[in-house]
Amino acid sequence: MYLTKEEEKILNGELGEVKALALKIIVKVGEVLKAEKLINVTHAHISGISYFNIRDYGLRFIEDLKVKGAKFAVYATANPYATVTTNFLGQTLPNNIVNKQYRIINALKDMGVNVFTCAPYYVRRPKRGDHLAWAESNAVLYANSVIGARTNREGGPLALMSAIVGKTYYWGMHDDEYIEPCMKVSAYTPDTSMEASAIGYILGEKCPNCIPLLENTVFRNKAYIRLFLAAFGTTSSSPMVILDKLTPLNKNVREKINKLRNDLEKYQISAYDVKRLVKEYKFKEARGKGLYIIGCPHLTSQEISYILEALLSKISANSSIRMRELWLISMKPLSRLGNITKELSRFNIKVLHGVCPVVTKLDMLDVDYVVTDSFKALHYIRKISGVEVFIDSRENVLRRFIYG
Amino acid sequence: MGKKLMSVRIRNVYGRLTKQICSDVMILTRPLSYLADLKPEEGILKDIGNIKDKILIYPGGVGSTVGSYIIYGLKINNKRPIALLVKYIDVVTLVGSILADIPLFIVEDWELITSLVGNSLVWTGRGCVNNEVIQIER
Repeated sequence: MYLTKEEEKILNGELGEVKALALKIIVKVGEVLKAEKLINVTHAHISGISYFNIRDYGLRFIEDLKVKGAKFAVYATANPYATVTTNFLGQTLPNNIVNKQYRIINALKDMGVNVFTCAPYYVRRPKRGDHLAWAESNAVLYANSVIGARTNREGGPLALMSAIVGKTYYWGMHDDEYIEPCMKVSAYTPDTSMEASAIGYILGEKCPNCIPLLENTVFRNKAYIRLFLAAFGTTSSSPMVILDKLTPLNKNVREKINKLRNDLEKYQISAYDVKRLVKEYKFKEARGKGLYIIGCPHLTSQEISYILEALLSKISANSSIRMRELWLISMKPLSRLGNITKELSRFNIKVLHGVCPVVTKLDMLDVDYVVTDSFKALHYIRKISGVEVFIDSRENVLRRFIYG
Repeated sequence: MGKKLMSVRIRNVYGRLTKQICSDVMILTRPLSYLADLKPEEGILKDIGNIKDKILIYPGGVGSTVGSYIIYGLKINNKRPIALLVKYIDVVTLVGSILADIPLFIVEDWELITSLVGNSLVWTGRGCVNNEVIQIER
């Protein structure tokens, strides 16, 4: 691999031990993938933040970097962490877990993480053509498929290394040559963002490692696209979905796709496919304490306002909401909420930021069942927490929360 | 091994084996989501079984990018498989194998592997692996 004089200096340890270690790992990955050189990135986004996921060995890995004096060389954000800042119906996580989670958060803050969210594209929107080192699948898919920035789907620790040196290997998504669809897909036009999520989940299973070209599917708004992409990233390792007429592409790539288009294998996702998947996970009888989640991926402040408006118009002073709690998860703190927070908490509604219930062991919070509109949340919560998860449209999640 | 052997060529991607190793072979026909499927403390694949000291063959990684840490966790907990043999390389798996120092290979003829497994999700048996080929008792 070609390295500049500056990169060689880093590798030789002239700029410190941590930078040398970080670059060594990036170069190793680049060499295996036969990358010709390294490139600078403008923004690194780190995954692997929850103590439940990375345990003591991950904590040690991150703290070691901090102790060795690591500071990020570029703008950096990180994924949300386990829900240590809140409780569920009064139940909190054990102290030792909370403490270790805060050690991870503090180490990352010391190194330079600005914001903890799974929607970094709303915190600092990349420009079209920007090179990034992002390691959160839904964010990677959004950057490549909607914004037209370029990032591979980095492993969590690799994005951390890229943050330290501000570089990544020139391979994959950074090179237009790589962008080539493996199949063309036409999917049923979803009626709800939950159905968009179902389409993503089904499509990911169909192409676990290649870029699909989605033709003739209309997503009503960005929320639909975000839920679609997040679910796709759950069942696939592909960093991109080409959304016809929406994904920004350079002229040469567009021409290449048009040449290939007729010969591509066709795949169809019908209304029946979607309804069948949804039916499998739809609400059945639920006992015990229920957690209702909207915010996978994290919501914008506009979405939160819209949901709160809908909620407050339905809730009356004598609404009886027992044994269930609603979490709306925002990509940033909402200062405007101040005066209504108290009113919301009376109805067991919380607006949270920085956290993610999907990477939290919800069984430790005594959650008996979850209701959500996101197939990504459904997939991981079932596997990680082992609690029952039901899927429904956003509207129905709210309705069920209020009326039981 | 007195039984009939199936030989499949493999291509080394990262970390080499110092010698031929014979052990249990576990073949999965679906990709792995490390975060969802693997418990690194115990070295156990959910609903499937133990992978420590086994030759693990599967299509590749999908899902959460935390996966690299999960694979690294296998090393810290002393639960590493002997080698990972995959159909395709993804960065999450590659970074995991580098951090955990687990040799990683691409299976040259994946069809041959699936012909052995048929329609089942998991197949287990015995085999020997070196840096060029895996031989599986059929």
